[in-house]
Amino acid sequence: MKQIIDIVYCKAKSELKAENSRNYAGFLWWFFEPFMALVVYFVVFKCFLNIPRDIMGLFLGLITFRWFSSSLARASDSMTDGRRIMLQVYLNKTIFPLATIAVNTFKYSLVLILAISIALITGQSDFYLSWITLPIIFALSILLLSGCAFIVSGLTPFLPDMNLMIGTILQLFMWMSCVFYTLEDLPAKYQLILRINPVAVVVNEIRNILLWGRWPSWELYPALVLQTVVTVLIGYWLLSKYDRVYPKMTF
Amino acid sequence: MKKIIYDLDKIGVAYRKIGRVPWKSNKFWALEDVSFKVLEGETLGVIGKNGAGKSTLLRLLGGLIVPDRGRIFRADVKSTVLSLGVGFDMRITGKDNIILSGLLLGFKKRHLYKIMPQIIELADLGDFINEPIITYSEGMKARLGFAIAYYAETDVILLDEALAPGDQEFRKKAADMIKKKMKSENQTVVFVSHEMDLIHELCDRVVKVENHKVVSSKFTSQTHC
Repeated sequence: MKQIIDIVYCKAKSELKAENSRNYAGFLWWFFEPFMALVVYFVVFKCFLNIPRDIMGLFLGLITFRWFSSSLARASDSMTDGRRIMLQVYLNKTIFPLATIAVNTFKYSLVLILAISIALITGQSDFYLSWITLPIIFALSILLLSGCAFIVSGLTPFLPDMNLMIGTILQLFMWMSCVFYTLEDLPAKYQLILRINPVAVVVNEIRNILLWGRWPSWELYPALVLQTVVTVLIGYWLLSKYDRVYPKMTF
Repeated sequence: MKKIIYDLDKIGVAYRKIGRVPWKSNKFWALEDVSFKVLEGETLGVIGKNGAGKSTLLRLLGGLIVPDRGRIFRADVKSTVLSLGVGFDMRITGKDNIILSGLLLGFKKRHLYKIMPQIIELADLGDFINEPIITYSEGMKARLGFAIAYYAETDVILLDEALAPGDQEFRKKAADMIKKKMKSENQTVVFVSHEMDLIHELCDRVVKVENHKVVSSKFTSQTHC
């Protein structure tokens, strides 16, 4: 276990160092990218459609969703990218998706800290007591993300089309994941549908707790915990079952 | 009586290429009906043409893959396929690659930091050790890869043509070092090579792989290829 953590940490650190040195702006791109996406959505909503939007709420929703979507998009390639190493040494296959999650979680943390600092300075947020519950939602998010990444990375070698499908699916999910609205904004009948989407719950909860100091909506947690556990178990089972089969596949 | 390290019984290994539909994969048999044993302390040479299945055999012994047919017994020992440059990332420095590649080869992190100066000294890359390895020549990369792999601690060495990288001077030094390691007491080695002189010098026994099958298994003094 310690060896897995060390390898994931080292691979993620190498990837971040490499990304940082690849272009002139380096790590600044980690901030530019979500910021530019925010500008696009803000212009569309506020200027073109004249729908009032809380910009910091939109930003927090956007970066949290991008944390999920970027991790999953990269995870789908992780097994195929790691095939060369798999043919040289035995490695626990969870290492490949976990390394992509570690990279994206680091980037997300930096942008999140910057966003919340700005919200504090501009008076849009405060140091709330409800923040003590943040470790719960972040721990569940990381576990849920790991489970999804295990499944996506484990299936892609068998279904190469997954790589292309995942982009479309994530696009659809973005509109169903409380990025542009809160769960509470919706009519009751639609709320019911979104409550079963764990990503929507995660995005909504992180924003509610962190930005607006609300206490967690505990009634949503039993389903979220169940979905997380099931996803992790299925993903782990898949990677364990085909652990020594992946190196024999020519993707 | 010597302990059995590996016992292969009618092993078959197939690689799969995904077909046009997910439920139809094309199998390619890299090994068929392979049987032999490796005993503790033995140095086994594996010879054969390119594509015969030698590397697949090492992957199987190293536990990287499982057979599709037959049975394999692996004793509870640590075996490592000593490949050069495992997991090298061209974009990061030589030093960072020592950590990354070392961890992938199974080194403990603390041990890796401890032997880092020895690895750097053996690789003999000067200030280049702090440069991204994309700036290295092939020989320099191979030297770094050899220096890391040389220090791997393992009960069974599985070696795939990785004896002597780099320029002539380094090649001689590397060959002497690895030969010494292979000949150390009770060290079990499976060694894939095309160099018959080395096979005769180092190996107790040789198996010949041809068309994905083991066609002969002889003691070196009797082997003629």
